[in-house]
Amino acid sequence: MSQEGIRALGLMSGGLDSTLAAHLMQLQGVEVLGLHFSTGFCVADRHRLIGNSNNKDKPYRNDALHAGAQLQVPVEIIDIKEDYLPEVVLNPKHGYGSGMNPCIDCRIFMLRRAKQIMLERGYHFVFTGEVLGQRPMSQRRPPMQAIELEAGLQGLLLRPLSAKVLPPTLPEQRGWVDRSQLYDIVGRSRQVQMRLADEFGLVDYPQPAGGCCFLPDKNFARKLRDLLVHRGNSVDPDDMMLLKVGRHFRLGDEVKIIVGRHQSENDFLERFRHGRGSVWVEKFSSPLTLTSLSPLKVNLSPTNLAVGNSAAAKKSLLFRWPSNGPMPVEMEFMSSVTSTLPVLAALS
Amino acid sequence: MGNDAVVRIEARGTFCPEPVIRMQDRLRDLVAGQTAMLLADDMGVEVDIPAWCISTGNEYLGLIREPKCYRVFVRKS
Ligand code: SF4
Repeated sequence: MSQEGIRALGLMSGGLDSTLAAHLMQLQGVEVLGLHFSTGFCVADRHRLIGNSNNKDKPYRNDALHAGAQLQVPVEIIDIKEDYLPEVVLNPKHGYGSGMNPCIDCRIFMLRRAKQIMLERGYHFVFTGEVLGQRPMSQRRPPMQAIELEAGLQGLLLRPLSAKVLPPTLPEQRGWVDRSQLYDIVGRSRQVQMRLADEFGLVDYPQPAGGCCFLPDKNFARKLRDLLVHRGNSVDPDDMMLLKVGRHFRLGDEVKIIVGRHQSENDFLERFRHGRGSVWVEKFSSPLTLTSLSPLKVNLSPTNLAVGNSAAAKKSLLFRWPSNGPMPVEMEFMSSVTSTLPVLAALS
Repeated sequence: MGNDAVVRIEARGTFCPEPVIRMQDRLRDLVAGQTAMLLADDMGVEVDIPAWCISTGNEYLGLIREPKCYRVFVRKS
């Protein structure tokens, strides 16, 4: 039996699991506030930045807000970018997963913030859409317990989708929520969740394939590691933004260039020109290239390229660089130094 | 400030979800019935602000598309 006046905070990514968890709480009469944490590494944010190339007039949506609208559950976006980068991404106590994903520290960080809001605003407990055994790093029994403990939410963290295979929490023991109405979902299959979505009439939810976060992505991780090797930890959220876009080439310890792959990426890179150098071949529909240092003079000299010296070759020059051949672009970074820079690494 | 004054929220040059965050944070300080106008150039506001209004119960009054930005109007409920 649930009680009146019980209020809970739910971590809402906008995916099916967190949407279902919120709906299960609603069904028990719990007043829910969804918290959506904006880490700066959300894949959906990148899609929205670059736009919908299939239909330029149809913007990508924020799935958490959309889920909140579907359930009529208020969703609050919590911007954690500033602290998340230095505290979680750059210095994870529990290490990284397969990419640069510090999933355990990430969960702890978000749940600590949730706990703080819970105490400040008088909520009773926190819940998530986590499913036991769904993710190798953070959703196994021992890390789930450790996360709860380190977040300071002992007994106050409910995972409604897997609650019946986890120890009873205080909300269940105190009768705030009815344990018998919760679920025992385990593993990576999403069959049960999809059946529940059908049952509850939740028709419009994002597909999970591809992941919702850049940090486990191997390509992204390679670029991020490269940045940290060359810049130490002195990176900021703008640097992170730029890692999501274009082809990245490391030219030297202090020099990296980013080449837009299509018009939308060029448009996006355009917004970051201030304070950086940029290369743009006039009269050809060339991609925009951002450089981490500001070149005083740029001279395109494609003679080293097998593609030749034709106008067409120049036009596609920046797209056709071999991954580790010599860089056919001369950039003058100081008035006295002009050199053809070798490509040290093609990062993407 | 009376309830008639439209509160202007500047979010041009910021990317989603920042415009929604600015709207939500500013609206928290307003009184019910007061109207806010968000200025933004990220086209995500076209879908995200109406969704946020449905989820939070605030009233979405509409949007004006201008050549370089959007003006989005919301009344605090
Ligand atoms: S995948 Fe990304 S957002 Fe999800 S827990 Fe891991 S680090 Fe955090």
